[in-house]
Amino acid sequence: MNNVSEISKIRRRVFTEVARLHWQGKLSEEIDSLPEKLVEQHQQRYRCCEYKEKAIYAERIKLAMGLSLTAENHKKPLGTLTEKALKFANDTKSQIEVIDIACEQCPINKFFVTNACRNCLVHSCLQSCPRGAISIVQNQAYIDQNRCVECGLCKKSCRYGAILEIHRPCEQACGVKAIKSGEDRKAVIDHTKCVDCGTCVISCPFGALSDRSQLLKVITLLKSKSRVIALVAPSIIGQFGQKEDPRSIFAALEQLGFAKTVEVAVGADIIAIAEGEEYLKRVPGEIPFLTSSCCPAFVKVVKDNFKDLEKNISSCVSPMAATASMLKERDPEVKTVFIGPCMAKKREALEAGCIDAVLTYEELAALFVAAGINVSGIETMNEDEVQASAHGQGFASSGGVTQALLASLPEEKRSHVKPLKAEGLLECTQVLGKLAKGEITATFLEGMGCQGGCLGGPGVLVDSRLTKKFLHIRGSKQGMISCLENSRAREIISRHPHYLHRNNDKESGDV
Amino acid sequence: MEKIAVEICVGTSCHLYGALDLAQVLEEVNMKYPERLEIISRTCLGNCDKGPNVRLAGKLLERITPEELRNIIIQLVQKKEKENE
Ligand code: FES
Repeated sequence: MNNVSEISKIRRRVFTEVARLHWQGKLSEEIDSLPEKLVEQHQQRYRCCEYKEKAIYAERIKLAMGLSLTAENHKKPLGTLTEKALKFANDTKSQIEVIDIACEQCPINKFFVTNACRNCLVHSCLQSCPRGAISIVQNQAYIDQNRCVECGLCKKSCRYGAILEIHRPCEQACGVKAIKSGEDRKAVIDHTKCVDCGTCVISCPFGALSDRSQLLKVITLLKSKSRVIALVAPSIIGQFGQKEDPRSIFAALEQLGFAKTVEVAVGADIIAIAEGEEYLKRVPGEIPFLTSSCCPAFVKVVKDNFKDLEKNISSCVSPMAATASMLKERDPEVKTVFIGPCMAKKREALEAGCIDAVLTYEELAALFVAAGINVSGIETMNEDEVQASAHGQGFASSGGVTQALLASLPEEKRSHVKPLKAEGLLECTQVLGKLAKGEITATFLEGMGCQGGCLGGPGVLVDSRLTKKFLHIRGSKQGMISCLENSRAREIISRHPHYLHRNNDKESGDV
Repeated sequence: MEKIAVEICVGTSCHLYGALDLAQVLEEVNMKYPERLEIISRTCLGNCDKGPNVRLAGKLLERITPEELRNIIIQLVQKKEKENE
């Protein structure tokens, strides 16, 4: 059900070791020997030779240090790059990169005749092909790839199942068609289309795609004198194996050096109420439907591909940004680290400005291990504090935003809402397309970049089917159900702080 | 019949490297051969760098994959069964 693949293990080892070196203050001295150490650790050889293996590790280490795989960084030994890495410059907003040498140049031809072809007398493949792309060569069907239009009729027609349909896993996973095969058939990301959702990262069986990590930045912050607050996404429940109880995770965060842990579900409560108010104000008078704005990948898909629908995106910031701004309003000196399942949040954080760093659960666990903190070994005495409502926590799961929004509306208005949800960017794109053309109607669209919502994000540690249960149990146990019951959230809403709404002027012009 | 002790580490390090997948294997084997295993969760087996770890009948299995674990356990269960016949 869960399946931590060998590729995940490699990623996680790299995170752990890079974090460990910086945690122990040995980054620049020992980073150069890390690829070797990692190759030794992983006795299984995954590729042709040790030399290549080391080179791939070096690239993974650069990404784990937050560096881009630019030609310039490519040539340099790791040790000479640590100084640059510790400046946290962020040359680019894009988070996902291709590790060129790790890409195995999967075939691009979609239909492929296997040896199961018996050169039968019927030749139904030949008959079925509308383009005459199939001929018989050396006793086997042969597809002329220049003529093939990938209709798939030959595959359907063959009674031996001898024709195989193959996809490049990265291309297939990408919901916005941002991955192409470049020269020499290696994967290339079109960064004008990519929304950093990270689906390709977990789809490539060779681990050739990865995001840049902010582990070093978080460690530097934790070691500094600053007061650093952990903003944890609601999907954290159950990620470390303690069922519905996050107290030991919060205690572990404290051991790591965070001054305190704030649940982003608090921000979700605030946003659910604000979005409800916006809905009543704008739908259906001004716009026929409103869309959620919590998922940065979804928001970017709308902005990049459906210009006409941009006005339909809720003007509310994400719960992450709302929570961070709330904290910074109270104390501008405070540093905020968002911890969640999401890679796209890394980009959102750069643009929003109120978040100092972002970690995925995967990266956080690696950091715990690096610092010698074992969540399972921590006993906690205090109560599981109620910070947010069950609906606010429910933002993590697909359908949850809709539920929270509905609950925030006056009862008599709820039946007027015609909700629709889309999960996964492919579905989001399809649904948006249909809405734009008027083929379907709705008054509220919940858009989630990942299957199952945030619980299905690329940075999770536990399968969403399990964590969904735990999220639900905790929410109902804590007893605060609707966001309207959250007096803290209502107090903030009543002050109408400017930070709850996106400043669109500021954002335009961003690439 | 004496049960086989299976200690599974659920510490953060082993968790990060797939302890949950191993736990699932144990559950499966437990369903298939009820009453043979005594499954014990441990918070750390003191071998974090080489996780995920399982201690099977006193023997430490490090960097174990779910497939390997399934094979080893089933073999052991079947061997015990033969001995008892
Ligand atoms: S966490 Fe499993 S051996 Fe330490």
